[in-house]
Amino acid sequence: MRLKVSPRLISAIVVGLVILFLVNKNWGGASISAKTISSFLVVGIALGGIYAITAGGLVVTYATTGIFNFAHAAIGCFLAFCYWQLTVKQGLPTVVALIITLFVIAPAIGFLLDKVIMRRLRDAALVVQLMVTVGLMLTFMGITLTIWSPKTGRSLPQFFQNTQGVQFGDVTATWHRIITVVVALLVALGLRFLLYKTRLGISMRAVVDSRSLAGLTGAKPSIISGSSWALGCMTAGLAGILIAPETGLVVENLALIIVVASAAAAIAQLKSIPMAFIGGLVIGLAKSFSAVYLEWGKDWAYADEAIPAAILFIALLFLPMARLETGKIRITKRTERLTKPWEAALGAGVMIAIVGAWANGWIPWISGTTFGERSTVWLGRGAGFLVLGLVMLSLIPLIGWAGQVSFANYAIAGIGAVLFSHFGGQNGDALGIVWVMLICAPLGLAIALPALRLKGLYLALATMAFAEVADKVLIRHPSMLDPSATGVLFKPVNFFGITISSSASDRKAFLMFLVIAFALLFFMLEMLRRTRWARRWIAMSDSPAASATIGVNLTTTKMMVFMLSGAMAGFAGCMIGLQRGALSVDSFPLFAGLPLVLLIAVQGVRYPVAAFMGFIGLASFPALFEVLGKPSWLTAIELIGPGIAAIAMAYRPEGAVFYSGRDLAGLLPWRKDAREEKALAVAKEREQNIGKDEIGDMGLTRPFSADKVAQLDRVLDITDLVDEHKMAPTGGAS
Amino acid sequence: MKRIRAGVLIAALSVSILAVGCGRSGSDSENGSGESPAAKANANCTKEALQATEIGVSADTITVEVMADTGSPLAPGLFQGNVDAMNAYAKWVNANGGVGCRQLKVEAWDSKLDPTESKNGIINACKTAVAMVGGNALFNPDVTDLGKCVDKAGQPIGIPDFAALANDVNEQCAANAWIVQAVSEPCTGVNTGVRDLKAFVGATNFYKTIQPNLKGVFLVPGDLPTTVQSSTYQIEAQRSAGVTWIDTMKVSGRSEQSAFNTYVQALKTGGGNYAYMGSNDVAMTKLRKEAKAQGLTGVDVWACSLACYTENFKTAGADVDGTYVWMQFVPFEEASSNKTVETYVNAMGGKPDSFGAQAWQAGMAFTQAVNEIVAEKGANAITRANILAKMKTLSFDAGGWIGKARTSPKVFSDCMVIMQINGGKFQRVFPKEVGTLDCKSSNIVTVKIDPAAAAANIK
Repeated sequence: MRLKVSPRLISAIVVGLVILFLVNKNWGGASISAKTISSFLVVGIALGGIYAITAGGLVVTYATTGIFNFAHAAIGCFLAFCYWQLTVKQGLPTVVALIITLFVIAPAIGFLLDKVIMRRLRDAALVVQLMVTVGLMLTFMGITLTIWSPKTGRSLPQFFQNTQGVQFGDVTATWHRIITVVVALLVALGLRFLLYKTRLGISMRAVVDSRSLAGLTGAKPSIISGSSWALGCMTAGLAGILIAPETGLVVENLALIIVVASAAAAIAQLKSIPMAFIGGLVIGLAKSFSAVYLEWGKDWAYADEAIPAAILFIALLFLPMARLETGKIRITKRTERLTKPWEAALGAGVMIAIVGAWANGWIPWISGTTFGERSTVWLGRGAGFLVLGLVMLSLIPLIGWAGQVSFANYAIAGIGAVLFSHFGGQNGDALGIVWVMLICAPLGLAIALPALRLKGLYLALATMAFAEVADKVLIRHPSMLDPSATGVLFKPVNFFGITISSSASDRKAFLMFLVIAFALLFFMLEMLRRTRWARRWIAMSDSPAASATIGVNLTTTKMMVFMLSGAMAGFAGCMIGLQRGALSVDSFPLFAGLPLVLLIAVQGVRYPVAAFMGFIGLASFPALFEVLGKPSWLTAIELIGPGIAAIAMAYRPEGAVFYSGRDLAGLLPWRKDAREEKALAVAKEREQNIGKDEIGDMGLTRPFSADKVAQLDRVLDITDLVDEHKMAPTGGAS
Repeated sequence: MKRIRAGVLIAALSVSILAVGCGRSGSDSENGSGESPAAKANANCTKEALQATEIGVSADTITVEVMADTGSPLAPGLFQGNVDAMNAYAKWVNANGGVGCRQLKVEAWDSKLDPTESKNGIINACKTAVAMVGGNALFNPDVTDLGKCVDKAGQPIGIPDFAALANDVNEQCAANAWIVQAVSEPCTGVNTGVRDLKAFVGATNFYKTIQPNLKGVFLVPGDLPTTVQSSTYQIEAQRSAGVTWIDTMKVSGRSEQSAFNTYVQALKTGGGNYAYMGSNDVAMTKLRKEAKAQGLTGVDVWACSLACYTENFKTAGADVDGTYVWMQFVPFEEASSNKTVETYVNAMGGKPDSFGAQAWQAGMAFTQAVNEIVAEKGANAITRANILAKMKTLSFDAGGWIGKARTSPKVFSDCMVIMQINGGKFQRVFPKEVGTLDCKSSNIVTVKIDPAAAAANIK
């Protein structure tokens, strides 16, 4: 009889052995006594309560809306500040302030978000959904910072802070912490009850599965989805109010707790709220265990900060293999017109011409003004923006074509930059760039391993975990980047007589080298888009099941795109190193990479030209500051603007370059197709937005179809809509 | 993005705890005059027609650049105090006759916690300003242009840098840098490995008068490796001064208060009577609150660096009462005792901060250098070369604000004053006499250490 061993069991054994090895290797020598155990448990459970309450809200939002809300903690942060304003500043009684915050402001935000933004994301590509919520996070952080200046100190008192807590051995559990843990538990159980035992909760989940079917059973999807967001905001607010006394009323501390909460939510597979509670406790206890019993030593000095990300990664390992979806094939994209080689060459040439004209100071000469006057400073900035453009370019095939949402490319670029310092960067050896690309390609492949069995949101979370581990563990390892090394790390590199470096005298040459490299990669991608590989990636993104049916090897196809993207990110990393000249261990945090994904998504992640527009976008605010001085309104826009731009994706999911490109192309005499496409889109939109004055057209110029009747019902407020209209063509990877 | 606000603030403040001043002993300290530079200016202003003598020096203005991290999206306004102080200083100095027979013009450069923007700031200053003054850029590793950019005559002599604070060792040890805050590094060319580093133990010596057998924990600002390393020689110095460390541990202002339980338990278990916070006011507040929650009563000395000398710390409530903070300049609370401090506090609208104070002092040093050049060589002798030569020998005491005159671009002050917070107010504890600093050579020790290697021993 053949013994069948579960792969999960093998994974569990391997993970267990690795954990045991790490614990043994880094044991700090603390004795296992009642004293240390009580300390470990009380602190761990207190921390766990904090994470659990955030994770619970994250899961309930996902379970009832189908959207992973990166802004969850930022909304909680905003509400915690509102609560502070009401209690501490206005002097309202705690109960009154809690009621106003949790039962008035929070639901209002939830309903508003649903009405204005979230409804439009229902059928949007995952990257659009995620980036809109990232934008929302930045917006809430920006609004909070604008209203409550970080220069002013604020503190939110703990509940019952003057009452002696409960003693466990040598450790006292304060009442606030006990309340936090108990509330987290009650919220978990209460929400579980709500979602599975009440009509409202079942309706919430049903609406996520199928709005139409839910509507047919008497649910009111629009009210239900609004209620879901209101509930999500209420849990966020509750978490924020309970956490703020522990973390301090500091925007970053409160908003960025989302990373830890994501790990706890992943343990719950984004489904089970009680499991999210347990996930939070696991992370809290793991951090506490590390603090009490482990010493990581100089090589892994920041490993404890990566514990949540590592747990997230492990949790994802134990997720069941993603099944090929059948019966849900959805045509999300129109048939694209492929860019012709001469058009791609022309585009590449235009990019070189624009940057070249600017770098050589010809724009003022052409325009007759000083606008666009380049300087050594701006040449350096331009190079900096362009290397980030290269990172964005590496995301096009991966996210835009293959639909593999990844937050790890900036981290790969960081690893590439550090590796280049070892492989020739310190000696000015250009061959090192090739070596780095050859290493980063399989590194991308390593990230692809979870992609082979995960997909969608889970893959995005896995790449987020990788980025965090890369920042906290890999790049900070002394063998990678010596923390005591200072000054310029990279020597100038010579390419066919052109010297490129961060030096002021080499900046123009470097910028020209970069734009030529960028244009070549752009051209390469446009040509690649015409090949069978790109078609396979897009087909895989549209429908893995259909692709597999027609013989596409999904494993190989995924691996190839991750390798390509990794190699491109590695090249970008080498350029980052040369452009900056010096590197520090904290140069490549996760949250530095997110804006790049956000920007490329806003511009249009399926189009290589979007990376160039992203480069322009990066330069826009500094350029505006240069031209306009530094007016306070522009500072506010800079703080909130990127978030607003991301939110705008809810209305323009294909990205800015698609819509502007279509409109501009329509001006060209030979692009009849663009004019027709726009006319079609306008007609479709008009068709889908029926007004009261157009009711008479029904059955005459408008078909009397089921969805039109539903729209009519909505316009006339007769019934709740069953399936809402689409404002714009949906697109992107499903 | 760079480290978040808390991280960078800790990084800055952990460096600034070494804040230099050149002081004089409490007994012979004299109050600053606050006398305007114009009053000290000489008759040379009218002896010749004023000319544009250097980049950034026209017939009627002198342009300087203040480079500080102010606009990073994650830490908005981090070192805005430097820029505000320099603008206020220019307003005040211009209202009092200007500098070098000209009006002072300040251009602000936002280095955005970004090495590239810091390098750009230097390049920009080279093209528009005669000097960089009052700067505070945390990530400034590439100072090539600081030492090599060309002056009006085409000579690659670089640009003078009167910095308020320099975090990166390359800027600290740059030949053209005159830095307000202390420089521990020997700057002998090799800034790695085992070397002699200066550290301040004056505050420790005072704490020993409260508790002779100090035994406790040193909490290291742990967000950045550089701040961990810069703490290692302070730990060693305090050990040499007689402190017994139960443990030295990394701490982050971003951590939840619960995470501070570990440190409290370490103090409890080890019978500690001393806790030194190398991080910032946020971390100290959490530590004190956690200690109170855990019923820790055995600590006699709660001590913090200059990073706790903030308005925010004053609003932290009774939990932080009794915390000691040491600094190397006359505190703002005693503005009435020193005209320079008073001028600064008033110019800042009653909202001074320690970063701004250092920027103001840098502005004063620059003004003094320029005025002395004018006095010695005439009103048209203001060049980068002359300023660089003058900064090497400048005798500067900031009107008594920092005590006795310093005579070197890089110094390590042996002066201090210790304050204690009670009821939301900082009050002088030592030395007793208002407006004075305690200055003695025994306040400084030299430790031989490799900070990178020693950092490995910090949990």
